[in-house]
Amino acid sequence: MPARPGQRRLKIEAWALVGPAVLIYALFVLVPIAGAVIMSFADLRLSGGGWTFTFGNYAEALGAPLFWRALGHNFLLLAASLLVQIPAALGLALFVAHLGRLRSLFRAGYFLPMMITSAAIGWVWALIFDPVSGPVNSLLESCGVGAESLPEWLGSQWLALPTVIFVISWRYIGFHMVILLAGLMSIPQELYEAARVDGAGAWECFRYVTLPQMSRPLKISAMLAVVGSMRYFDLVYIMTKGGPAGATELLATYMFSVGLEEGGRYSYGAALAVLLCVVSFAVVGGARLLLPREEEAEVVR
Amino acid sequence: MTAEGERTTARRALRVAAWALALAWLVLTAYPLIWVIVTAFKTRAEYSGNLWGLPSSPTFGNFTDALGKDLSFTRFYLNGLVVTVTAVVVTTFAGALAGYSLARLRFRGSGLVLGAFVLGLVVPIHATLIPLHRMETAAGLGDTLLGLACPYVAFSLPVAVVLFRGFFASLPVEIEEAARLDGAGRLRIVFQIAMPLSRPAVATVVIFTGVTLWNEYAFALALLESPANYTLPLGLDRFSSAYAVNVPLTCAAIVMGLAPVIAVYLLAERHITRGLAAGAIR
Repeated sequence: MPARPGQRRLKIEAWALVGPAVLIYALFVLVPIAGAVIMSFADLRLSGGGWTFTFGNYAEALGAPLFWRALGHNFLLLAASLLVQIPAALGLALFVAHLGRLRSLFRAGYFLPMMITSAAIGWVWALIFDPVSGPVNSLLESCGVGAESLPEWLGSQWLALPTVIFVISWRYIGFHMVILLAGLMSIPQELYEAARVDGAGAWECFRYVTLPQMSRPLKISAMLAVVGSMRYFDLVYIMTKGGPAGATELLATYMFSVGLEEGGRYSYGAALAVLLCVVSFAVVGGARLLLPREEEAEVVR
Repeated sequence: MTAEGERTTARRALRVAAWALALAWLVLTAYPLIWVIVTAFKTRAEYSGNLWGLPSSPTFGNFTDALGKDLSFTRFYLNGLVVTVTAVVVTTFAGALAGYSLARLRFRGSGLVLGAFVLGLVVPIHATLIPLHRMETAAGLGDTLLGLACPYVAFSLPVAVVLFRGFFASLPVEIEEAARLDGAGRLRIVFQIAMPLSRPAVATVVIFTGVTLWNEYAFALALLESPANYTLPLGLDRFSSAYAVNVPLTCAAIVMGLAPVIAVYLLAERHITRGLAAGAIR
């Protein structure tokens, strides 16, 4: 069917307008992702290697205990965001919503960590948790903890991960709080008045008015937590580089360390990048299935 | 005590507990920054003797040192400024044009284009780091500010496109139709009608993208090599470990990097929070 000249012009105009964005986005996001897939089947490295076709990188990754450990840490991070950060953020949002003049002060204070670059945050918290000169251990020491039993925090095999998760939560609770607070503030007051006329107490108001009205902001928060915990990188890399001995390794830090920093095993790193994408899409897809259908389009957009 | 009395006592106890927890968390979130600001005004000698107190005689020495020629924090600020401003300008214009096209002009493939941008909201963006590093090195873009600004634009575009598309779609078509009858072309309609009417969306994209990129660390770490090209987060990271002994100096550098961000936050808080949620909301 021949297109009318007007329609053809419209088509050209539409593509011309969308063109610059599509071009940059394709060149610097889509092409690199395709590049990761292609590279992952070769054996490119800083020294030697080449374009030989192999499944070896995937075999190696899936057989590496560190890969599975890192994956487990990503899921732990996800659990911490869903079970600790979001509930804590909801509690703080409920508190802040009832404040009068102090509301912006509290909101700004809670949100502050989101405005600071992770390079600075990681540095400050590493100082605070420094085993020798940090205030946390000085406090413990003045409480009578012996010098030999003072924890090493970020340097300890079993405490490093909880410490890192604490710092990440410290940063992101304010982020979820702001999203949930916006949701709380948009609940019509009449709903509460009507509930009170019907004899509802504070708990009933929360259970039967607030929570149902908050389902959308809560799902948005949960979705951002799911996406965020699979791609997490910054603070962990800055504070521990995934160490000590893999105790805080995440998929992204593992990929970065082996692929670019030590040894420069580009192809192995690319295979890890592809696996990172696969895991992310699987988890995001799973989360979308768990959310009620009518909401899904809204949440992911 | 009556049941009524017990209930008010319980409620009062709950209120006290809520205030205590909320205040404790506020102290915990704000204190590290306050400590950094206070420490930035101490000399090294005073810092080692007086870790937690106020400085006895505040000094600006750390700020001037950080900007001095041995430590090129001036350079890091300028690099960050150049990269951030370039990327924000390109993201805003390219995002607005694409958002307009997707909102107003139905064309074959528009669903696919929108889908590709929505995919960008969930893709783990760090997966692009290794191939980007190889591609940019091969193309001569490696370790350049342009080579950093390009991926910055690319991964900022999904939020910008989705936001602009949503905003433009909500504008009444009649104004544009009137302009078209007057002979205005598409570009004029976007720049002189749609964008001025969408000032909140423009502000959100500019401010949110600006703050995100000014603070961005991972791409700078992967793509930049020479210290002359560092942006602030990378410079902070590298110099805080190289100058681990000089804590007050690092604090001063952090304060100077944070000052513009805090100013932007105080002036335009709602735009930042809206931008954050735009990753999830239309």
